[in-house]
Amino acid sequence: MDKTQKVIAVLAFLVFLSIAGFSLYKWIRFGTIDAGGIFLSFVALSYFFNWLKWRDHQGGGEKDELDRHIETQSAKIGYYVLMILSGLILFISEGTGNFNEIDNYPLVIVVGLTLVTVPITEFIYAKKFK
Amino acid sequence: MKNRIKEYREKCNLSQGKLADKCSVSRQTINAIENNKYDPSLQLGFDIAKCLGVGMEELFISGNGGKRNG
Repeated sequence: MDKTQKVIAVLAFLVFLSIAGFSLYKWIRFGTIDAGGIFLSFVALSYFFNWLKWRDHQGGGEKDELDRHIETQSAKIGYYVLMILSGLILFISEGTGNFNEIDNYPLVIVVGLTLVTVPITEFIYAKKFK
Repeated sequence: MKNRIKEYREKCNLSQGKLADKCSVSRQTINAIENNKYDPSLQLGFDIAKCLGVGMEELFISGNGGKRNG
């Protein structure tokens, strides 16, 4: 990584810290949750990690065989990480482990969708090879 | 899958970077293959073998540790 690339990475991380820090400050100081700030901080964090790995803020660019392998494996692992995180967010935000006490139905549907997305996609994609 | 890429590469006086350039991949890819962290595709295996001037069967050692019958 050359000097310019390092500067861009540091800037991206500083932007993330600024937005996330400001959102956190507003939450603690005024009790308001800024959805825009939360979303933008995730955009900045995504920019930072894409830049670190691919030297491209969108994760694109020229890739060789190993890069594509890393991408594929990361997509698989990332899916299961997302599944666990969405479940954790549901149970922590609702403050219960009992499904009958949960009121956030959209989030329950999202967690449920994480369970069926891969089997359905595999079923449809397998038809391509029949 | 084990391989003898490093051995043949050094015989050809090629660095990992030069072999990578010849095969149109990154140096990290060649390094990962040499260290058995990544098994290359058949196409890349053929490309590496061609660049090193050896056959695939010489370069890559199958699961039995490369021992041949007879």
